[in-house]
Formats: sequence, structure tokens, C-alpha cells
Amino acid sequence: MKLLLIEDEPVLQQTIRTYLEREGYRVTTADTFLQGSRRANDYEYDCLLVDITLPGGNGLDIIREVKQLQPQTGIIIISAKDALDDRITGLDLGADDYLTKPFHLSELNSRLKSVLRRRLFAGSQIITFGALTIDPQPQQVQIQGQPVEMTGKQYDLLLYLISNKNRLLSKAAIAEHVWGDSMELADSHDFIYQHVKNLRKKLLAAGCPDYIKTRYGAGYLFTLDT
Amino acid sequence: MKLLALTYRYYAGLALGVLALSVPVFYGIIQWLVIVDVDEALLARKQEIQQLVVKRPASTLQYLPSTDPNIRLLRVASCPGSDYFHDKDYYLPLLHELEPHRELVTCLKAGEEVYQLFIRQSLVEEEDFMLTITGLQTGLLLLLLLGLGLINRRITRSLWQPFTDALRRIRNFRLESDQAPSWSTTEIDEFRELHQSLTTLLTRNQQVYTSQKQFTENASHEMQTPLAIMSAELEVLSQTDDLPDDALDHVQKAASAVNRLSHINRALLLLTKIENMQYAEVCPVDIGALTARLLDWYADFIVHKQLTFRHLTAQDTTLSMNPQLADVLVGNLLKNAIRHNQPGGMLTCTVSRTMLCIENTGDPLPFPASQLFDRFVKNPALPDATGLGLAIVKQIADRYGLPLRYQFNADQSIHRFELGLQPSHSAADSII
Repeated sequence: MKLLLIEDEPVLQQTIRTYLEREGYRVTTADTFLQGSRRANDYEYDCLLVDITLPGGNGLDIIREVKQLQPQTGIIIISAKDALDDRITGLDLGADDYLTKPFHLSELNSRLKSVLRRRLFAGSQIITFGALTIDPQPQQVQIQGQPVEMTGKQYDLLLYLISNKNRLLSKAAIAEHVWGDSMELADSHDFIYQHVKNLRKKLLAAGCPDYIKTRYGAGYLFTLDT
Repeated sequence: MKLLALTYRYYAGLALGVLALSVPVFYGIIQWLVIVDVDEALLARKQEIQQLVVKRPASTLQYLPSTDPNIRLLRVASCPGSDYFHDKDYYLPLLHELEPHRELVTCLKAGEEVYQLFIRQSLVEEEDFMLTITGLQTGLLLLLLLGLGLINRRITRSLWQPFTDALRRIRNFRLESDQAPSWSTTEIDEFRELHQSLTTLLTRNQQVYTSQKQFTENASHEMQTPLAIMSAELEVLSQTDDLPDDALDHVQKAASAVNRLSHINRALLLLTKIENMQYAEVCPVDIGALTARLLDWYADFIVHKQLTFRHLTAQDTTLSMNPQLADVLVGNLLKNAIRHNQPGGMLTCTVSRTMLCIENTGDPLPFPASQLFDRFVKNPALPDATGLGLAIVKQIADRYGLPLRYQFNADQSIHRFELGLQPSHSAADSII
């Protein structure tokens, strides 16, 4: 998978790049509007990660160009601007998602995977992880061939854990992903614990090995290693 | 009070003053003129009688008093003094009543005999004359003032037209969307100056508004970017293999502080933006449906806290407001009621035509109720809270003129928030 990351803040750019490369992506970076626009036109990428406020121009203009030349490319806006206008304009222009800074890298990773699934496989890619098989289109989870009923939130949580396998996920990151803006209500750590516990119970009951590792006080890790 | 009414009141006051003062003065002057005139007539009569006495003393003295009822003669030993006039009432047989008279008292010498002569003249006719004239004058003056007032009113109304027109335009003016208004043309210098000053003021306000908007957005950008770096770096650090538990603990604490800082920053930005009258676009928002949607969204938290929960929508109410702000307004109220509830507590949410009422069980406020909607006032037991949620609620409610009330029932330990759904003033009026 080839990604183009257009972000003017060098430290953030480097960190995101390293993180995504570890996930197996090939990441090209651009620091300015001009560079970003040129690279986006010179080569075909599977997904673009674009900051809106760039030296030399507005990231929205790059999105406009790319959408005309390569409509199949996925686009995620990463912006410090929470302005509703930008969000709506961005999504109207054909961006697939909008992330407001600061964000969790695991969140970016999860959204990136979701965008790529939708773009490249029309959402029909089957995700497998050990004994788990997930079909994103009807949101169906199977364990060793047997379907398991899940609530919407449980499905979100599971998919998030799988998307960020082998990475330590903090409770805050999980809460923000699954419950969005209302995650501040999850201030009792017990809340996430309870939901993870329920998911784990359900998976174990269906004969799935325990992939969820608890790192006490810090968060959870989804891994095949035992 | 209207300026026109006030001016008219002053005019009327002046008119009444002039009237009250001028009528007695006028009356006095006429009376004085009449008396002078009558006195002259009496003196002339006296001279006439003196001449008659000189010519024919005997017959004059004998017949004069009996032929003229206005003349009296009194035989005296000597002349008591010089002539004088006085006012005295006499009975008039014709009118059957006492009437005021002017009387000249003088001496008359006929040879050796000395008489005191009284010549009088009735003032009845003069009195009537005076009253008629004064009445006429009063009437004329009143008529004049009334006419003046009416004309004045009509003229001022048309003269003030550019002013009222300008006022209407300013009232409809939207800082965030409109161009500076074009004024109606006027010949009056004062209004032209007013229009010019208003244009300057509005243009400058728009510039300030735009630059402030720019500033808040830039401030957001500038602050969120370092926060994003911190957050990303801490996340990478926490995912480092074989990180000791205590180090991980420190990283998590730092990450949660960054998270909190970012929330405070966003909340403050939201407050600033509401203050700056951003979020101008409005659409009809169904409060009942919005409440139901948000409650559904928070269902996990309600279940987790094991709250007994009731939601009643008596009547759907639609408010014209910004949908994003409506979300924040109702959302923050509900989040507040869930967050500060006690485990196994109660949450009641009622939507009626006039108000949204949210009740929750919970400990009494650890601070005075008057500070509840202030910024950064929070329960010390919940250090992660931003202390801005209810301040934002207040700000939004104020912006749309929705009354917001808080009550605490100490017996049942119930906090009650009431949000009136009928704006006390149109939101448009709060723009300026």
C-alpha cells in the first residue's frame, strides 16, 4: 500500500511515517502545498493523508485536484482545525474521513484501514485473525466458521483491536474510537474494562483463544502471541 | 419613551406654562387699562359737574343727585382731603344684585357750602368685556399651540425618517455575513455624519471580527499541533517493546494530561467562537428528537452506571438554532446529569412544549449554586473534568435567549436543570 502524507510539522510527519511504515505501508511525505500537490500528481497512491493548513496553500485544493485525476484514491484529512466548514467542504470534495488533531495514531491506523478496505475491496475484504473471520460488509463475525452475534459497539471494538494488533491501546484511545465525542463520560476506567471484559467473554464462549492481553493500568493488547 | 413623545411633552409643558402665566398677566393688563379709562371718564364727569355748579349752582345741586343715580352729594363742614378713587360694590336694581363699581370721591364747592361728591361708574360691562377678551386670547393661544404641536409632530416624524431607517438596517445587520449597509440618502448633515460613522464602525467591527475569528482558528491550530506531537510521541513511547511498568505508568499519566489539555483547548475555543457569534447558520431543530438521539448515544453509560432512566416527550418542540450548538447544548446537559449521577441513581428527562427538564440524583454541589455555570468551576473529586461543560451550556442558552434554571432538592438529593424552550428575545436582537 502506498501512502502520501502531506504534513508541514516535521516531528509529527516523521512520527506518523514511522508508525505507518511499521504497519507495512510505503509512505511518501511532503512538507508544503507545492510539494504535496506535485507528488500527488506525479504518482498514484492508495491513500492520501492531508493537512489543511499548509505553507503555500490550502490542503483542500490538493484534494480537489486529486479527486479529478485519481478518483479511486482514498483521502483522509488530518487537521488542527475543528472548523465545521472545513470538515463539510472536505467531505463534500470527496475526502473519506476527517481527523482533528490531536489524534491517536491507532485511530489514524484504524481509519486508514477502513478507508482502504472500502476503496480497494469495495468493503468486501474478509479480515482474518487467528480463529476470527470478519466480513465487514454485513458486519459479521465468525469464530472457526461459526457466526457470533455482536452488538454494534462490540463489533467496533473488535475491529479496532484487530486493526491495531500487537500494539498497546490505551483506554482513552479505545473510548474515543468507540464512543467518539461522549468518551469523556467514560472517565471511570471501569467502563472500558467492563466492555472489554464482555467482549472477551463472548469470544471465549464461542471457542476463540484469548487474544486480548491486559496490561494493568495501561490498556490492552490484541495479539496472537500467548 | 420615544424621543418624539419626550419632545412633545416638553412642548406641551412650555405651552401650559406660557398659558398659565400669560392669562393672568393679560387679564391684569386689560383690567388696568379699563380702570385707567374709567378713572379718566369719572374725572371728566367731575369737571363737567363743577362747571355746571359754577353756572347754575342751585338747580344743579338740587337735581343732579336725583336725576343721576351714579352721583351722590353729602354736605360736609370742610373738604376732607384730596380726590381719590376706590372700588366698591353697589346694588343695581336692574340686575338685582351687588355689582363692582369704580367711585371718585371729591369735593365740590358751591359758594360757601362744601359738599363731598361721589361719582361712580359700574364696571359690569367692562368686566364682561375683559372676560371675553381673555377667553378669546386663551382659546387662540391653545389653538395655536395645538396646531404647532401637530405640525411639529408630523414634521419631526418625516425629518427623523433617515434615522429610523438606519436603525432598522442596523437591527437587521449580521456581523458575520452582511456587507456594511447602504443608507438612504438624506440632506441633513447630522444624519449623514451618523451614516458615515456607522459605516466606519461596522466596517471596523467586521475587520475585528474577521481577524478575531482568524485568531481563534490560528490559536487552535498552533496549540493543537504541539498537542498532536506530544500525543503521538507518547503513544509511540507507550508501544515500545519491553517498557517497564512504572515507565509506562508515567507515559500514560502524561498522555492523559495531554488529552485533558486538548479537551480544555477545544472547549475554550468553542466558547470563544460562540462569543464571536460564529455558528451563524440556523435550521429548525427538534429538541425531542435530538434528546432521544443523544440519550441513545449515551445508553452504554446510562446502563453502566445502572441508572433508573425515564424519558418523556410530551410535545415536540422545534427551535430555530444552529444544529451543532443544539447538539452541544443538550449533549452537555445530559452528559452532566449522567456523569455527576450516583451509581444506581435516577435520571429523568422531560421534553414539553415550553421546556427541557433534566433531573438527576447526586451529591449536593461542592460549591455555591450561583457558580454552577461559571468557567472552570468543578467538583474537586473529578479532576479530569474541564469545568467548562455547563459554562458552554450557559453561553449557548444565552445566545438564543433560552432561560436556564437550576434547582436542588435537598430532601431527595435531586439536581434539576430546566431549559426554557421559548426564547425571551429574538436571537437577532442580541447580535449588536
